[in-house]
Amino acid sequence: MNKSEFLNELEKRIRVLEKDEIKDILAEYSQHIEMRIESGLSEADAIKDFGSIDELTAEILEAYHVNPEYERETENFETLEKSIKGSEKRKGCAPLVGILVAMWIWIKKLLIGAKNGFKKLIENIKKLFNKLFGAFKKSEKKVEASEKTQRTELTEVKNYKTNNRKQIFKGAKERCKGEFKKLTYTCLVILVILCLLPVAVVGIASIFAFGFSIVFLIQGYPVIGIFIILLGLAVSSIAIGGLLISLITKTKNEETEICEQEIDDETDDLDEFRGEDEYK
Amino acid sequence: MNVQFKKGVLELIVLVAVNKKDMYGYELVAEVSRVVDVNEGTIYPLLKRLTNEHYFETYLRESTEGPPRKYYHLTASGKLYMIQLENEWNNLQIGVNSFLKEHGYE
Repeated sequence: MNKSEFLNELEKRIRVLEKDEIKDILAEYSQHIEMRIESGLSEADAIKDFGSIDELTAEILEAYHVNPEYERETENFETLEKSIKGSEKRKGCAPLVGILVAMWIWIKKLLIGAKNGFKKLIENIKKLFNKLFGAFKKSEKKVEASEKTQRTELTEVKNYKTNNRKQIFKGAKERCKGEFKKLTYTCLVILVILCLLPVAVVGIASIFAFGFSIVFLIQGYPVIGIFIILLGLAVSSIAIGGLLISLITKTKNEETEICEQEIDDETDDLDEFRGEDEYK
Repeated sequence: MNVQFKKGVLELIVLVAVNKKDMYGYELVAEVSRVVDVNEGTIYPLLKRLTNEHYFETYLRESTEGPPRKYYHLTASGKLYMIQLENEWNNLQIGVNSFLKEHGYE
């Protein structure tokens, strides 16, 4: 090891210190080596007198209360990083890998989103059925409650009962109406998604082919007909896709309206029911 | 000589050497080498540590030959530390010697 090699190695190992400190240390060591050489020692021997460079750097870093192992660990990490970078450069496909990774992440997100959407859909259907059965149960309870009051009131029993039944069926019917609306909405969403998939595939494929046809057209191939067809296909698929999506979002608003209406209806029913009891 | 012996006593030797007069690195190494056979690899880090702990001050002074040299100067706290180490050394030395005597070595 000659002087410059030694100093370079030393500099690399004490990088963790401040620049001024490194400069100071290196100056001192180089001066020392020079003086040893002047006194008649060979360069290699002068450096040998420093002992092993590992111990030397460990002792220097210890003087600053720096863990000498730390620097070595980061060094290993950096060499690893460099080797990775080097291999990427050799392959020359770093951007391609980046795009693939980005695409993979995007697809993953999409899949997760679809999964969550599907879960929500199933939950909605479950809720829907619960509500459907719940509506009948509620009206049965109402019947029981009203029958209890009827036992005390012997007069007009039959009249009241028929009235009450009519009302109950009316409520149930209305509720069912709301539920059916919801059911049709979920069916519609499924249908739209099913329609949307082929439309999206056709749209993407046509845009892709459209790009190709532009290139061919520029090169002078007689593909103007195909070009126009693809353009039309792309535009129409985008339009259909937009239409389908707007259909879902629109019906979503309707759904909330339906829910609000339902709540209003229920409160109305309850009010009517109470009012009749008080009247009695 | 036992490396641990050297390392323990080296600090005191360096402090005492600098106490007499300000010295630069190479000079100090030469001075210390007269007493203990030590490699340069241990002295420079030691100087660095003592400087970081404010027992030494450093300054640059032009030399007639080559680049300016970094001189080490003992500070007040360095002097106190030196006295403390000296006492410790003396106590240890007396203790160890009397122990050896007791056991028939001399």
